[in-house]
Amino acid sequence: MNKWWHIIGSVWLAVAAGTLSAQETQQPVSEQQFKDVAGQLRCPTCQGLSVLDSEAQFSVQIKDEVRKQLSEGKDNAQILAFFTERYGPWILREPPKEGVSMVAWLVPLSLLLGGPFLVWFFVWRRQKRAYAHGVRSAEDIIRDMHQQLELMRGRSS
Amino acid sequence: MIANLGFYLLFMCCLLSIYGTAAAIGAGVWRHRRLYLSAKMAATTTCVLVLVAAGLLWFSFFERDFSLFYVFKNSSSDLPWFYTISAFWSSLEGSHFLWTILITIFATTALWTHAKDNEHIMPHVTAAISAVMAWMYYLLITHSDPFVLSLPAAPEGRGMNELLQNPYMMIHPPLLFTGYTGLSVPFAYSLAALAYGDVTQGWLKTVRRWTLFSWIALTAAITLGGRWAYVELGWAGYWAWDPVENSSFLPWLLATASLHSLLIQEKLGHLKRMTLVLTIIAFFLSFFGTFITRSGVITSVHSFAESNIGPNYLMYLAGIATVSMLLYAWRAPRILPSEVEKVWGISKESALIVTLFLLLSFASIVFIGTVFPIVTEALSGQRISVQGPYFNAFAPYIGLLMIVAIAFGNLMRYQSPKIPYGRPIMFWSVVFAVPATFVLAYLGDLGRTPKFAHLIAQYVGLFFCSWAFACLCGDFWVKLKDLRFNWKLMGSRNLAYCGAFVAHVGIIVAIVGFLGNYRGLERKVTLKVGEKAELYHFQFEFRNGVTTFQEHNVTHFVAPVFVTMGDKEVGYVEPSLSRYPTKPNQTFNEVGVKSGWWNDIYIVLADFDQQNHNVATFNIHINPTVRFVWLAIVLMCIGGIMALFDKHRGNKSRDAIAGEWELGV
Repeated sequence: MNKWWHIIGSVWLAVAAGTLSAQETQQPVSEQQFKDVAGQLRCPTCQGLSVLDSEAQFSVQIKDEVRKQLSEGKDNAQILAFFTERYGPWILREPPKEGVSMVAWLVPLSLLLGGPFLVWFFVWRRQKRAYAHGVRSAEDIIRDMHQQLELMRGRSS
Repeated sequence: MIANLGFYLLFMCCLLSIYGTAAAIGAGVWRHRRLYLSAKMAATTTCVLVLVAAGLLWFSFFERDFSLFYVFKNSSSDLPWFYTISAFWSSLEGSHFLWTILITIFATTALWTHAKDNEHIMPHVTAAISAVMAWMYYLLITHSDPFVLSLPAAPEGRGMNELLQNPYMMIHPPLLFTGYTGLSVPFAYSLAALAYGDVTQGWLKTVRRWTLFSWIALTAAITLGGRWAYVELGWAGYWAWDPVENSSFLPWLLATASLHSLLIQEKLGHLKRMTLVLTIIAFFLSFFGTFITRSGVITSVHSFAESNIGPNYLMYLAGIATVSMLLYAWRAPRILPSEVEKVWGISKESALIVTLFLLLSFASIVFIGTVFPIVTEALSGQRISVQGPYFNAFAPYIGLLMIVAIAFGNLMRYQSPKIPYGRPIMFWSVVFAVPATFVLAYLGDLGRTPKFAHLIAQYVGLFFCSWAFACLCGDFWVKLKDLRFNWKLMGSRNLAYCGAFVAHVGIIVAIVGFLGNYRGLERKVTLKVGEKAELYHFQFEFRNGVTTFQEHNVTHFVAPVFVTMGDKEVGYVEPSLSRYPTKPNQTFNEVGVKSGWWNDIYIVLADFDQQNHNVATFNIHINPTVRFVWLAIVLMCIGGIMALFDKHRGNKSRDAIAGEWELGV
């Protein structure tokens, strides 16, 4: 048991150490914030890229606008709202979590969360069927025979 | 002249494959052997004719015959010979043509190499595959004819797409299409099994081989595509979840799922119908991918109506879906149940069901993400984007669950809840995984991760990856112990298992590689000659200024950057911009990459002083563990090839011999 505590303790220490060193190397807040915002806006002229990853003219303009607004002290949500108002929800790289677009979020979520139940139900039901056609226990067979007897009695009377 | 001849050949191909379809259906209905042979010969002749037609197109490319519109559009006189070969498939008509050629070749191969046991379902197979061919040829001659003339001939061509003038783009399209079209053989066999009314003895072996073959091709092709994006597009990544990539990933997921479903079918005889459905969907999705990328429907629903080929593809897809579903509804109930008793519950087959579930959920998420923007735009007129962040929100969880499923699934045994040597394997795998996690974390330097949540994600990921690796090794050891450590017997009798082992290790290595995406670093710098910049542990010196040199048709502007790490020399990284004579006002990225196991130094030359060549702007990226991903794909392909060469897999006799060690202790 003692050994396990050692392992858990060393894991905890190492994670803590990693975290501390991560905090040390963290970039200035504004740069990280800029990356967060720019990473959520799509490059209007490319396929599948964010403005952060793109050097297209349009993207550069958007990035400049983001930097400008960040320096004005706006927060992420405000900036994203600004762009959504200007270009529509199309400019965001994720579908909005409201209205019809909720479907795109709910289906995968329900698959992932409800999946285990689905598989369990599937497998469980198959197991039942296996009993029906395959080898049954002696108790099952006797119970079935009693049921048949009951049925026959019901019919004859 | 050549144009007319080429078109005539394609027209004959179309007629022949229509005849082949009709003849094969007749042969299937009346059990008429000579009619079947005639259909087979029709397919073979089609193959010969289409190869001649392809030769003609290549010939025109090499002759620089710009009277052919396709040649004019996609090549120019200065194109080197190797890109002249690949100019063949560098735009819509040609790649459709290539697809058709490959499908014809594989159809013919499948018809001539079928197993003796399958003789009685071959008319159905021929009918299904000839119908697919007939449709492809119909599209080819009506909507994407590569032999259209443009007279008078232009003196010079417009030039091949510059982005495609890259070695990876010579191999990527044929390999990808090989994967796609290879899937049409399992599809044909599935329809044949439905038409015949049951899955036959030789069926499984053939379908397994073709699915595995396509799977290997798809795996390699998808990676080469990613590799191309990595070195050519310059945004420091290999996978952007864009619709074109997704549409190649979907058939891969389905092919993977059907391989696992085939495994249950082979060992226990269950899930016959599941396999049929999966192979059909895999084939359907390979065409769905082309539909989505070719019809222009991804850029906007409205551009869909502009091309004629779009609605045609849609009709074709609807046709495949309708025919398959009707056939399934009509015939699937006739398929006989397995002789082996069903005992689900905790066992390997249940673990495989979980794997199937994960793969299919992943596929449906990717499908929804790809199709959703199109559907909402068509229904409500509102345009939305579904890009990377959406997929990345789900992919890590699925990846994690998959690792767990791989570990448990490999340890478990069929029809038994017991894991042989379960306790020691579980104990030692955790004992191995804990230090391994920290070694990996130390070597990969996880400390530079900017976000705390991502740091935790990486620790969790690394732990589960090393744990699953240890579990796989444990199972390998058990298998080997059952054979009394006779490696030769393991290699000859359990080759497919060894292949699966290598491929699964590949997936684990890939996930370790993907985790590196959480800690990429970047910096944009403008340097004068002699100046230095610093990022992470590396120093970058712009020593020599920009040099110019000519290679084939291209002018390269190279800005070598000398990289050091403290006192240690790493060497020159040479990002460049290239200019093609066909587009003199534009430059294209050639990224400079210095690969290492733990860090790729990835430098893009963003801009430079055109006059003096002494100032340049660089985008410097440090991309961790990208090489792991490439290694992983090599492992997966090797695993696939090993499994392909297992002579015994799918043979009933072999299961009887190997039964003792296949079913566990």
